[in-house]
Amino acid sequence: MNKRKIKQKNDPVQTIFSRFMLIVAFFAIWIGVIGVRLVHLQVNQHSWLLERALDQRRDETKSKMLRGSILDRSNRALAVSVKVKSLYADPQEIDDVQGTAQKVATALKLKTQEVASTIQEAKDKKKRFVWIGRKIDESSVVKINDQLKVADLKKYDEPKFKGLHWKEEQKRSYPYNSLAAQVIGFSDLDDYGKAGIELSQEQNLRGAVIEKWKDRDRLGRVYEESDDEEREPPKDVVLTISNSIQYKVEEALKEGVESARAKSGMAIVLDPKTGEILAMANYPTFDLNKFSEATPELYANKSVQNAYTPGSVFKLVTYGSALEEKLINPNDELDCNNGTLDIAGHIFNDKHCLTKISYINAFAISSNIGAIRTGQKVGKDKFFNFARQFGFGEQTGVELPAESKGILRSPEKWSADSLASMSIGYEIGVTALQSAAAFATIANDGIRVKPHIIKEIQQEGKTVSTTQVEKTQVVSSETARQLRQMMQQVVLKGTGKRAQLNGYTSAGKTGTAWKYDEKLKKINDEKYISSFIGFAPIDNPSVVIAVILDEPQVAMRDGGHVSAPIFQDIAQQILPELNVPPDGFVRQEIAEDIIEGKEFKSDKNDKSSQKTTEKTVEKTEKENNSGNPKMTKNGNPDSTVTKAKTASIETKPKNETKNKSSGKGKT
Amino acid sequence: MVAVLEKRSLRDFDWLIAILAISIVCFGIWQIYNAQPEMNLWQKQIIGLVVALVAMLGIAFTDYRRIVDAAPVIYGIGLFLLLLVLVPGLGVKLNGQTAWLNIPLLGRFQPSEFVKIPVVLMLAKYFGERRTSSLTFKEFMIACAILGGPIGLIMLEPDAGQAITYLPLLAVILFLSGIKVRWVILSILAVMIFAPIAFWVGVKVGKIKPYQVERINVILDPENADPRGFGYHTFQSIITVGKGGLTGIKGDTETSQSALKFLPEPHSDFIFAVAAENTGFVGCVSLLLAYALLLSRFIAGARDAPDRAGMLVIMAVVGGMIFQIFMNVGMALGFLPVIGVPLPLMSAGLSAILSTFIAIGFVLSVRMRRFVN
Repeated sequence: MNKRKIKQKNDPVQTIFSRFMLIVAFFAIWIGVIGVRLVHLQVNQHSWLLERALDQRRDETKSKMLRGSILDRSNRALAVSVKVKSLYADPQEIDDVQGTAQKVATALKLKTQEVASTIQEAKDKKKRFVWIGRKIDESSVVKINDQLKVADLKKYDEPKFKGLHWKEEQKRSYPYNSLAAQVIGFSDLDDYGKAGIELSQEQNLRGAVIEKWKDRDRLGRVYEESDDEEREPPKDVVLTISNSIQYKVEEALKEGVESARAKSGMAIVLDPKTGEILAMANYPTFDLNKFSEATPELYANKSVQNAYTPGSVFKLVTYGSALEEKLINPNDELDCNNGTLDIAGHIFNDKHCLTKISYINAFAISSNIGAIRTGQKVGKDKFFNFARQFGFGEQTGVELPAESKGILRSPEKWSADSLASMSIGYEIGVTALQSAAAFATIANDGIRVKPHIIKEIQQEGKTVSTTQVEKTQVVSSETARQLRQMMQQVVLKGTGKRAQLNGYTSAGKTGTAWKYDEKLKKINDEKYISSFIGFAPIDNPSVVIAVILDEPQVAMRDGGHVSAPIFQDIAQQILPELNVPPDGFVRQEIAEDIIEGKEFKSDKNDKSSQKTTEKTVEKTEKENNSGNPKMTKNGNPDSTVTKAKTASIETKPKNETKNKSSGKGKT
Repeated sequence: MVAVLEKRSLRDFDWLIAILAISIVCFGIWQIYNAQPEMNLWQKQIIGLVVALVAMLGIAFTDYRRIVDAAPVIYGIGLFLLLLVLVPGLGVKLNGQTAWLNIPLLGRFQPSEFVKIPVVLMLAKYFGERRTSSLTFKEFMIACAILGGPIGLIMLEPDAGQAITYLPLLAVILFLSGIKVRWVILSILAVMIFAPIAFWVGVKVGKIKPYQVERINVILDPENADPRGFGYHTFQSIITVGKGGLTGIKGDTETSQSALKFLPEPHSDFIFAVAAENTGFVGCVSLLLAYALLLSRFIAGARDAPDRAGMLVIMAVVGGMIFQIFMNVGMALGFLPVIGVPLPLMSAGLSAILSTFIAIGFVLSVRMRRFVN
C-alpha cells in the first residue's frame, strides 16, 4: 500500500520523464527509418534513378544520312534517297485513344478502327513507340500538322497534338521505275538493300547513323545539345550501265519476248574491250518504286543468277579450243558419216551434214557431228581447261549478288559420251553473262576482260575508286580472228542470218537447246532455250550482245528466228549511239536465206532423209527418258534452222526438231 | 546591474542551440541557391535569418514567464491576424490559398506560421498552472478549443497542410499533461479506423479532390502510379534523392533536377530532395544528425526547465518541429503523400524562418533560466 502511494505520488514526474523518453525513442526510430530509406535510394537505386533523371531530360535521336545514289555511266540517277517524315505515336501519352485515332485517321486518310487498335494494343503492352504513317513527303507533313494542330497545347514539337511525333526518315526513289530493275535492285523500308546493286553495294551506299541528343528541361527548352558528329558521307555507285542503251535493250527484248511468246528473256550488252556491261535486261520486269506489288520471282537477275543449257552457242569453246591447239583448220573438211555418229554406243544424228563439209561451214550451219568430231579431237582434259579459261564453271565476279557459277563438272565425273554432249552445249549450265563474256573474249582478240557493272565509286561527286579490270589471254589473237570469221559465216549464210545489220558487219552464234524438265526429270523437247550471242562490227567489235529467250512458243522458235532479230534490233540502234563508224554492210533479203542454204549440200537431202530418221529419233527419245538426269545429251535443234529456211518454211518445227535431233541409245 | 545581468545571461545562453540552428539555416540557404539559382530567394533568406536572429535574441533575453502570462492577449492578436487574412481585399491569394497578408516594406507575411506560437503559449499557460496528475475531460475540451479557433480559420484559407502542423502541438501538451495511455491508444485506434473512412467519404462527397487521391495512391501503390500524372511530384523527388548518391552531384548543378524544373517547389517543399541531390547521403545524414542534436538539446532544456509551462513550451516546439521534419522528409522520400509542409530552418520562407526562430528564442529563454527558481 505504502509503496503504491509513493509510486502514485511520483507519478507525474515519472510519467513526464518516461513520456519524454518515448518521444525521443520515436524520433530515434524515425531517423533510423529515414537512414535506411536514404541508403536504399542513394546507394542501392542510385544508378537506376540517375538513369531515370537522364532519361526524362534527354531526347535521343538517331538519324541516318541519306543513302548513296546509284548512277548510270553518265551520272544520271537510277536510285536516289529523299528526306521524308514518318508519324509515330507514344501510346503512353495518349489518354483518349478513340478520339486521337479519329483525328489521325482523318488527317492521314486511314481507317479509324485500325489506328485505334494499333494504338490501344501498343498502349496495353506499355510501349512508347508505334508507327502511324510512314514516309510521308514534306508537303503532306505540313498539311497533316495543320489538321492535327491543337491551338493551346504546350508541346515542343510538331504536330501540336498530344502523343504524336514525327521522325525523320528517308525514302528510296527510282526515277526510271522499271529500268534495269533487277540490276539496281531495291532497298526496304528500313533502307537496307535487298537485291541487285542495292544489296551488293550496301557497304558503300549505306548512310552513317548519326546519334544526336538534346537535353531539355521540363518546359521543353533545349539547354544542351550533342555536338555535330563528323561522319563520312555515303558513297554513290556509278554503274557501267547506260540508261539510254538499257532502255533500248529493254524495249527490244520486251518486243522480242512478246512476239516469240516466250516465258522470259534476257539480254546483255557488253563492251568487249573494257568488260563494261552497258545494259543488262530481264523481261518480264517490275517497277522498283512498287516492288512490293510485284511477285518476288521477278526480283531475280536471271542474267547472272540462273544457269541454263547453252546448246550450240557453246560450240564456240569446242572450235575455239581445237583452233588454239591447231587441231583443225577452218577450211579443212570433215566427214559427217551419213549424219550419224556413234559415241560410246550412243548415236548422235545430224541431217545437215551427211557427207563432207568444211569446219567453217559445219560451224555456220551448226552441225552437231562437226562439233562432236572437233570436240573428240580436243580431248576431255583440254576441252575442260578451255571451258574454264573461257570463264565457264566459275563466277565472273561481277558486282551483283547471288551470282551462279553455272555447272561444269570436272572430267573425272564425265561419262563416256559427256565430251560429245558438251561439244554441242549440253551437260553444262552457263549464265547469260558467262556466255557474253566468252564471246567478248573472242571479239577482243582472245583477251578476256573481266565483266563488271560498276564503273566507279564516288563520294560527294568525287571519284574515290575506279574499277580495275583483269585481263587474261585465253586464246591467241589468230584463233580469235579465225573464230570471228567462222561466226561471221553464221550470220552471212548459216543459222543466224537474221542477225545481219544494215551498215555494220556482224557475227555470232545461234543456240537452241531443249530444256531439262525438273518435274519430268527428262529433256522436254517442247521447251526451248533459244539464244543468239554476237558482236559487231567484225573488224573492231564494239559491242557483244547476248539475247536468250526462255520457252518461246511461236512456230519458228530457234535462236536464229527469235533471238537473232532481237540482236539485230538492239545492235542497229546502239551502234550509232556509241559512235561506231559503219562499215557499209548491207543487210540481205530473207529470200537469200534460201538461196544461200542451197550451198549446203546437207540441206538438199533433208526431205529424203526425214522419214528414215524419224523412227530413230523416236527410239532414242525413249531411251533418253531413262538417261542422264542432270544434263541433256541431246542433239541440237539449232541445226533445223538452216533446214527450215532452206528446205521449206512450212515444215512444222516439232517434226523438224525431232528429225534433226540426235539421240543416244543403241539401234 | 545591466552588465551583471548580461554577463550572466551570456554565460547561460545556449550557444550550441544557436550555432546549430544558424548552421542549418546556412545549409538551407545554400540549398535554396542550388534549387533556384536565378531567383533572389537565398538572399531574402539571409535577410530573414538576420531578422529572425534579432527576434530570437529578443525573446531569449526576455523572461518567458512574462510572455506566457500575456498569452491570452497574444493569442487574441493571432486570431485577429488569421481573421484579417480572410477579409477580402487584405488576404493575398497564392496557389489557391488565401494565407498571406501584404505588409508594406516587409513584404508578404503568413499569419498561420506565427499563430503556432500563441497557441503553444496559451496551452502552456493553461496546462502549466494546473496541478492534477491526470488529464480531465474538461481540460481536454479546453485544449481542443484553444486549438480549434486557429485551425478552423486556417482551414478556411484553405491550407490543410499548415493546419495539420498544429495537431502535434496539442498532442505533445496533452501527452505530457498526463493524458491516460488508454486515451492515447484509443485515439490512435480511432485515427486508424476513421481516417480511411473519412478519406473514403471525402472522396465520395467530393471534398477530397482527385489530385489528392492520386497523391495518396502514389504512396500506397507506387508501381502503378502514373509518374507523369499526380504521382509526378513524388516520383521526381525520389529521382532527385537517388541521383545524389553517396556524396552528391558535385558541381554539375546545371543539370540538377531543380535547375531543369523537373522537381517542383525545390526551394520549399522539396528542399530536402535538393540537399540530397547536392550533398548526397553524407549531407542528408549530417543534416538529420544536426536536427537530432538540436532537438536533443531542446529536450535537455525541457528537462531542466524551471517550471511546467517552460517545459511544455519547449516540448511543444520539439513536437511541432519533429512532426514537420517527419512530414517533409517522409514526403521527399516517397513515404508520405505530398502535403505542403515546409522543412523547419531549411525551406525558403520569411514567415517560417521567423516563427521558427521565435520558437527557438522561447527555448533559449527557458534554458537560460534553468537555475533560477
